[in-house]
Amino acid sequence: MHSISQFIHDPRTVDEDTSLTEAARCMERWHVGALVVTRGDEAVGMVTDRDLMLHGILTADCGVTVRECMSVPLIAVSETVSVHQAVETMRINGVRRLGVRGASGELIGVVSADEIWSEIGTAMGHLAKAIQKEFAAEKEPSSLRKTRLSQE
Amino acid sequence: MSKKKLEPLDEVISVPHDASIYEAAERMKREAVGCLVVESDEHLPIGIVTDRDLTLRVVAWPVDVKATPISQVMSSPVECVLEDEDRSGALNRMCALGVRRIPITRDGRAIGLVSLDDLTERLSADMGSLSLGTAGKLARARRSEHREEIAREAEALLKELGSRLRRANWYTRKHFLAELDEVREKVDKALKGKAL
Repeated sequence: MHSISQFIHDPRTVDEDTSLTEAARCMERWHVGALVVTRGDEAVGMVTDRDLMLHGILTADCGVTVRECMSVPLIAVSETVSVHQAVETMRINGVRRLGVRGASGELIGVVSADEIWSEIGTAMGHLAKAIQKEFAAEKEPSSLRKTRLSQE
Repeated sequence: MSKKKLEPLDEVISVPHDASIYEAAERMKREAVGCLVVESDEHLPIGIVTDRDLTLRVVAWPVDVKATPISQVMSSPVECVLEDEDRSGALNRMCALGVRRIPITRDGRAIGLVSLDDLTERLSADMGSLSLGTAGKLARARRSEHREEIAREAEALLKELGSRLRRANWYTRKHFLAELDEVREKVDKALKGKAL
């Protein structure tokens, strides 16, 4: 199957010292459900909207930092893996998003299960349309079909 | 896509409208769900709240989570589907509303939940069986094609053998044994192919 390159998005990152409130506002601003957490230049973990919600509300303290509730280490794949391998990594780790690392190990993006599923769904839709078209063509009287083909 | 009655794929977890945000979050954690239906005193669904709603409406703009009722941050009213709608109906509704989860109701009460994840899972399973079915059919077709080819060859060989045997001399008998070996080899090959 194809490489994941077409599914890679720019990573949305926050520093590990960011408060839960600030991280939640970032998620709203950027329309994402997860943020990569960095320490200096290094991507160290990921935090999801659910992590922020559970930690922030259940400790009744949204002023704490994302370091307290992020998942570490960051589950990531190389940019050269196939879609199949990326999906397998998601399945094994029970996550829906992965970091993507470049040749020297630096974070270059993220891939999400939603994105892959949406792409597969679109492809399936096109396939279904092709099949319907084929059926329709076969139902046409053969004389008509010949005329049409010769015109094409 | 299935035209069967919509199965409540997930249990619906409801909370009373006067439960606190804290209680709601605790419930989400305990039940390992991402969505709660908020009920009126009459146990009718009046709203819905997801983990993301709580992140964007509560964590981003902190309030006193133990004193604020969940009804203040829920999405209301809540769109529901009837249990006799089919899967594609539910999917269409989700698309139209841009939501991932919809409660299923019977006599106005929420009896289950259908989520995009569940539908995706079911759809993938359906597609998986479909591909397996197609692969199996192709493999069978290939095998049968192969078998027909062998049968045709074997038939030709037997015909040839028959006519030679009728003329039966020492030369034919010698070749009969050689050709019998050839047939045996072909049958062995075909059986191996079948086992694969």
